[in-house]
Amino acid sequence: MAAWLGLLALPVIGFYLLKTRQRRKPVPTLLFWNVLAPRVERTPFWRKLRRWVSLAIQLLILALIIAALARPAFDWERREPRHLVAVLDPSASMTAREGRAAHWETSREALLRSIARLRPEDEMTLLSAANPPAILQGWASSRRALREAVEAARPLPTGSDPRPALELAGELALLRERAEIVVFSDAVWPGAVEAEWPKGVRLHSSRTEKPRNTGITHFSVRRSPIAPGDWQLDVEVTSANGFEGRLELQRDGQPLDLAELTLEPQGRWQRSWRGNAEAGALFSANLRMSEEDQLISDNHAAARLPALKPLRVLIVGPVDGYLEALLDSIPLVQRTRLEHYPAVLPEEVDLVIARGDQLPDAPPPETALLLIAPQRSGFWGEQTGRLAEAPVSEQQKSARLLQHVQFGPVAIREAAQWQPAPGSETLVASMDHPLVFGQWDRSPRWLVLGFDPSQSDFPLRTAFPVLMGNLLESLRPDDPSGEGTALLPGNVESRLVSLPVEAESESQSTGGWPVLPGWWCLVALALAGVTLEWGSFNRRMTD
Amino acid sequence: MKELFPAAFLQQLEGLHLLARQIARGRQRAERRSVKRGAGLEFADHRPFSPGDDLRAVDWAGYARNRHLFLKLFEEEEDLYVHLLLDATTSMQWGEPSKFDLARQLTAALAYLALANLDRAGVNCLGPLETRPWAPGRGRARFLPLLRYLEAAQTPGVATGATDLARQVARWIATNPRRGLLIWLTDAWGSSPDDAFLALDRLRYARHDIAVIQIVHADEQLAGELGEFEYEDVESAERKTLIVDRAAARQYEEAVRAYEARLAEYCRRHGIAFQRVDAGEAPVAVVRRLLLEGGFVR
Repeated sequence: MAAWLGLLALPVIGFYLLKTRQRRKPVPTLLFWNVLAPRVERTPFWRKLRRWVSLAIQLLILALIIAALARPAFDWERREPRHLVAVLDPSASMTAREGRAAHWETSREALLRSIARLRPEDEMTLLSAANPPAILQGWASSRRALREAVEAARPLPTGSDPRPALELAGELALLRERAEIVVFSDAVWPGAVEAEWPKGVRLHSSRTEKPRNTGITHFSVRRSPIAPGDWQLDVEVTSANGFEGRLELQRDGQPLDLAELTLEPQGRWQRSWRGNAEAGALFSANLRMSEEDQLISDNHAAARLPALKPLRVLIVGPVDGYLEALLDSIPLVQRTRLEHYPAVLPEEVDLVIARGDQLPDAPPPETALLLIAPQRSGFWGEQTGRLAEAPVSEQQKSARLLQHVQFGPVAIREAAQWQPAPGSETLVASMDHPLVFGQWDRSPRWLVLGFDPSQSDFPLRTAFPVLMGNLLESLRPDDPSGEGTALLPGNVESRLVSLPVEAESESQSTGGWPVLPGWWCLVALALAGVTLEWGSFNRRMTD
Repeated sequence: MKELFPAAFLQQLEGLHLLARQIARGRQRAERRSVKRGAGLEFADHRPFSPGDDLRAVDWAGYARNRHLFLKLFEEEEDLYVHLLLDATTSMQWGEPSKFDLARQLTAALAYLALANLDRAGVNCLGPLETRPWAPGRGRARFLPLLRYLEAAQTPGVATGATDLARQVARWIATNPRRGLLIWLTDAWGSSPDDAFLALDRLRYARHDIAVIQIVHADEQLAGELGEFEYEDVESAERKTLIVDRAAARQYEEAVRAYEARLAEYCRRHGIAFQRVDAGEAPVAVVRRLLLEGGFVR
């Protein structure tokens, strides 16, 4: 076929010879042409060769067209992966604009180009690096199905961690031979991704220039673990390219504060606000700036401070003036009292304090239990005798319940001698005799105060309210921080900082250049040849 | 075929003669007179008597007045010879209408003026063809035979080798023509850049009053189409293959202009009447311009 097409060279040569045959031009005298002859004879060598160069270009154009029709497979086409796992990063930072388009659009177009280059025998699967990752399209050869999957994808309003998606991509790659994983992203991820980047995974980064963005990189509100009702709001603003503007802070829609900010490039600004409130609140912040900002979504953040829930304490037994006064002094504590231990505990009781002989037979499964001077043995341990004058000799310093509690000076005139139940932990002891013991770190939670406070000076000391405060605070949720509703919580995503240069350059070397079909390149070369020949033709005619 | 000397052209010649007489009268010169002193009718000057002089020429009346012998000198009237040299080389055949056609028409017109002025007009075709010269003669009766002579005159039409203008002129001078007014109708394209100038030098040395009418064609002034051509000299058949670009074309046109300027400057410097005419111009208009701009009527 190519040989037959090669015969087309004959008419090209024929026409060329006809075209380049010298035309004779009679003149009345050569007098003046002879004057010019020396100059013409000094014509550059390439000009003399130009006709032959032109013929060579024409033959080259013909050869390129014939080669293009033959649809050869070049090396770079053979290296094209047969099976491709494409991971599309949908994180909010992808909506940042760079130039005319957002990273999201640039990455999506790059992905669509990869799909367009798929040959019939190639396969591709498409993942979204959301949390959790989603398979947008399983292994498929249909370009149409893949295109539709890409077009249906939408960016997320929050940041994302690509690691789960990369793990899933790795598993999918195992299903096909020589499958290759390509991530289409702006490479703005938590720093840990850099260290955990799997080998062989290519990154097609849409980022080409330094980020021009300022954003709220940290916005959180939390309650004090020791002072119920106290809260702290932390805000951090980071600028990649310098910033001058203001930060407007609101609480439940009402202005809370206004801060004028001036940041140098790569500058960071941090501030905390404190307050006290039992009720919940919604804090929000807005960055106001006059300069261009690549990522708009990180100029706003919000965090919700949950309302404090009151602790309900049930006292079982006779009236204890010290205890009840103490409980009344602690904020957000509601107490009730029963004379006898009930068969069924009331709902929504956080703590049961049982005294004397009003004792349960088994620990309540969901409710914490404090036994004060129990008068018999039970699931908490066995009473083996009585101790007179039991000075405190040991105290666990690291126990959470005993923080800031000093049992040493407490004078105990009389105490029971206990053999704690297996698995329980002794917090305070007198000469190896447990005084305070129990299991508070796991459920069911119970604690035994092995002596009667009225037989000691314990209620008169600060250790008593501090111990009770610790005990009640330990019943509150472990995480005192609020519920963040910032679009980009965390401190990495909105900084628009890419992977280190090494990873970036590697990604560009493997995925930056588009893989062009060989025939397309040949046609492009042929067109370039036509342009060259046209220019040469015009030059011959007009020079 | 277009007629070389149409009736209208011949009718206009009489008008040219009248114009020429008017111009000559305005210069207070009737007919041309030679510089020779001799046996004419009109007194010219006195000179002292020398032994051997003709006693009949002594001014006796003057001797009576001042006792010195003087001789009376009279102007000797003589016919003016008008030599019309017609370049009949192949290059003159160039263009449409050709330069040679205009040259013949101008020759006829100038010859008519000379004959009507009782001068002796002769025509010589200088070219590779051995053309019989039209010997100088006087009287309007010679005009019609002259037209037939000019109609029969021709260029070789084909390449016969480079024509050396200086050599052609030298051959004519060798015939020892009488001194007079010489009008050379030529394109002045010689075998070399100096050929035409050498020919003019020889004519000057022969002590003729010279006038040059250079007939050019507009096509010759421009390089024409650009590109690679094999240029062929219609006269010498010499060929030269050249790639002519814009720069070369510009240099060609500059060379033509420089040559023409050199020719005009040469004529000005040596008192030679010079006119450049385009082959497309009407012959009567050209002659009228020659008469008005001077140099061709004496």
